[in-house]
Amino acid sequence: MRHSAYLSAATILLLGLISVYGKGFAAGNVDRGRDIYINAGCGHCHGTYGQGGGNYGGAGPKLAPNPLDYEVIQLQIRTPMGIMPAYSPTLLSDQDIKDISAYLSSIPEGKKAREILILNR
Amino acid sequence: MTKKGFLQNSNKEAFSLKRRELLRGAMITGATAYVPISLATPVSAKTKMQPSVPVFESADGEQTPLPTNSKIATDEKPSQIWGSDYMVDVLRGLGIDTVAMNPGSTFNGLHESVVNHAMVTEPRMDLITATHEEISVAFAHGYAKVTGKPMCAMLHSTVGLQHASMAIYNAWCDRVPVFLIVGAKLDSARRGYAVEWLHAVNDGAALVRDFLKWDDQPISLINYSESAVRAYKFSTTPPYGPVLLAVPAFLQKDPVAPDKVPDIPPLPTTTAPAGEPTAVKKAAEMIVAAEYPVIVADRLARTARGMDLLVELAELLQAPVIDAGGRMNFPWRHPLNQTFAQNDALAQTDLLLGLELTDFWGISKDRIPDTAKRISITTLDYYMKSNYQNFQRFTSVDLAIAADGEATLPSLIEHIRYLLSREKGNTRKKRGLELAADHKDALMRSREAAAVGWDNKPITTARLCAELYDKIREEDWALVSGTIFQQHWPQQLWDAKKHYQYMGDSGAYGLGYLPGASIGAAYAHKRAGRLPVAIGGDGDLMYAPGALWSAAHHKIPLLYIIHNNGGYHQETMLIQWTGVLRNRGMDRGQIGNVLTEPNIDFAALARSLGVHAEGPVTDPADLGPAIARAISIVKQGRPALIDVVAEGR
Repeated sequence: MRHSAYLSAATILLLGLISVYGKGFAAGNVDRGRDIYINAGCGHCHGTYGQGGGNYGGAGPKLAPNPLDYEVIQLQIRTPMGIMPAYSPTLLSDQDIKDISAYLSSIPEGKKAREILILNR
Repeated sequence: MTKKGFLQNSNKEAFSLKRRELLRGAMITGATAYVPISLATPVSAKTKMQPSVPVFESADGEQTPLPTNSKIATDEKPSQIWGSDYMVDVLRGLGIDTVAMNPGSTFNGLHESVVNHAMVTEPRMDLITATHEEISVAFAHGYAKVTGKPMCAMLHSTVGLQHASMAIYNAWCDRVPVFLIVGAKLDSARRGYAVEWLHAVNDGAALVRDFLKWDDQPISLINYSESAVRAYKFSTTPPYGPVLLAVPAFLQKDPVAPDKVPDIPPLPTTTAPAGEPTAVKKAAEMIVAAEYPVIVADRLARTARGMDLLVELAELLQAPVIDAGGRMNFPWRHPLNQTFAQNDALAQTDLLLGLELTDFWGISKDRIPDTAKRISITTLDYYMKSNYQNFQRFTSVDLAIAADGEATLPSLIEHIRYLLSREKGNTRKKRGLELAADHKDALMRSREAAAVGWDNKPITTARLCAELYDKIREEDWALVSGTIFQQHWPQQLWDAKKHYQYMGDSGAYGLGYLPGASIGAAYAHKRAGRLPVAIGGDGDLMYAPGALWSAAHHKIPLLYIIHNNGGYHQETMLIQWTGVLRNRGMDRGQIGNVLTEPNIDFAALARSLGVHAEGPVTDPADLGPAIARAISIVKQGRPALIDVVAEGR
C-alpha cells in the first residue's frame, strides 16, 4: 500500500511515454511469452492475466487487455519506476520481453463486466 | 447443528439472558458469598443453552456418555468442592461459557471440573476439543471478534503454551480479548515422574509476557478469583488483549470445604476511555477547518455502534473514508467509501484523521501532501510494550489523542455538528456527490478488472470471490477470513452492510491463524444462525488442518474455501524479486516455497477429518455449482470445504 504512489507515478509515466515512442510492435511468441510472464513473476503483482492487482494500492497496475507498447514495457522492465526490480538482459532478453509483450497483446478483451451477471450484484 | 435447524436465534438470547441472571444473582451487592453455581441457577428450560457437544449423548467422536444418575450432575448439596470447581464457577461468573483445549496433565483438575461440573450444571459450559494449542487460542480469537467478549483457552504448561505462543501473538497484535489459563506444576514435592519435571516451569508466562496484556500466577483461591476478575477487566478494556493465569495444579486438585470457599468478586462494568474533551474540541475545529479531510479507520469499530458512528461522522462531513480493514468499520458500498480510490483521496487531503490506525506511517508516507495536518485517535498511544515491534514506524502527528476511537466518536461528532451548524453555505454536499461518483467509478474499475481472465485456468481470485458472493448474498453471511491474500476482492465486489459481516485478519500475519479462528468465529455465528464463509490459503491450512476435525466433531457450520495457489505465494514473489535485484534470476524462486509434487489433496484431507469436501476445482465453470452444494451442507449445520486451484493472489 505504501508504495502505491510510486506505482501510480510509474503508470502515469508509462502512459505518457506512449506518445514519445509511438506505437510499437511486439514480434514475439505468445506461448513462450506466457511462460516467461508466469515464471518471471510478473503475475505476482500484475495478475496472471495482466489484470492488475486491484485498486487497493500496492499491487502492480493493470497490463492487459490493450497493453502498452513493447518499447514502453521494455523501458519499465529495464529501468523501472517504483518497487519493481530491474530485469537485466541476462535475466530477460529483449526477445523475452517481446514475447511477454506478445502474450499481453494476445490477451483478449474477453467479456465485459456488464455481460457477467454475477459481477453486477 | 442442533435439532432445531440451522437458522435460529434463540440460543443467543438465552445466552445473554443467562449471563444477566447470573450476574444479577451472584453480584448484585459487592462481593457475594460463594454458592456453587449449580445451586444458584437451577436448570431451566427457558435458559437452557444448547451445547454443541451433547453432554449425555454420544457425540461423533470420542465422547463417553456419563451415566444419567451421576452424583456429579445431580448432587444438590455437595459435601466437598474441589478448587477447580470453584475456578470454573468464577469463569462462569465472568460470563465465559466456552473453553477450548487440547488436554494436558497440568490442568487436568480444571479439565475434569469443566467436564463433570461446568458442563452438567447451569449455566452449562461448552468444551471445544482442539488438536493443537494454536487452534485453541485461534478459536478463542475468532470467537471474541464475533461476540466481543473473551472465551477461555486452557493450555498445558510449557509445551502447550509454547504451541500456543504464535496464536497469542496474533491476538495481541489484533487487540482481541482472550482469556488464557495454563496449568502449572509449581510444587516440586508433588511432581512425579520425569515428564512432570519436563512440563514444569517457575514462570511459564515469561515466554509470552511481551504480548500479554496481563498475567498472574495465583497461589490461593482468593488470589485466583481476584486475578481472574482483574484479568477479565484488563482484557476487555480497550485496547483489548490476551490475558493469562498460570494456575497451580495443587490449587486445582485440593478439596475445599464448602464453607471455606472464597467469595466471587463482582465484575465491574468496564468502559472504554474517551478522548480528553479539550483535545476532542480541538480536533473538531481542525477537521471542520480542513478543505478535504480524509478519515482512515483500522481497528476502530469494536462493536456495531462503532461502524454506525463512523458512518455518521463521514456523512456529516461528506468526507472520504478509507477502511484499512482491521475491522468492519464502514459499509463496503457506501458512496463515501473510498478505499479503492484511496490514492486520489490521500493525494488531495489537507487533514488525515487516523482512527485506531495501526500504521499511520504506511498510509501517509509519500501519499499525502507534506502540508496536510494529521490527527490520531488511538489507544495505542497510552498502552504499548517495547520488545515486539508491532507499534509500527513512528509518525509525527499534529494532534495525538490517546483514547479509544469508538468511545471518542460521539463527542467528536457532537463538536463537529455544532461547528457545522454555524457554517454558511454547504460545499460538503458537492464533495459528497463527487465522492459518490468516485466510489461508483472504483466499483466499475474493479468489475472490469474482475472480468479479465474470467473463464481462464487457473481460476482468477476475482472470479473465486465473485462466485462465492453470488451464492451467499441472499443469506445472512459473515466472512470470517481476512482478504489481503485475495487482493481485497470481497471488499471490491461484495456488499457488506453489517458489522458482523467482516472481522479483519490475523493481527500478526502469523500463518496458521485461519483454521482455528474461522471455526471459532463460525461457532459464535452459529448461535445467531448466520452463514460463515472463509477463504484461506493452502499454506495456511497446512499449519493447523486439525481445526477441520474440531469443526466436524462439534458440528460447526462453515464454508471453508481453499485458495490453492500451490504454496507460499508471497514468499515466492519475494524470493524472485530478490533474485532479480541480485541479477541471479527468478527460476529457482519456487524452491522452498511451493507445496507441489505431490500436490496436496485437500478434499481428501478434509474428508478424512469428517468434513464434506470437493475439489480440486480447476474449471471456473465448476466453481459455482460446487459452492452451491457446499452451502447446502453448511445449512445442515456441518462444515464443508472446497479446494479451488486459483491464481497466486
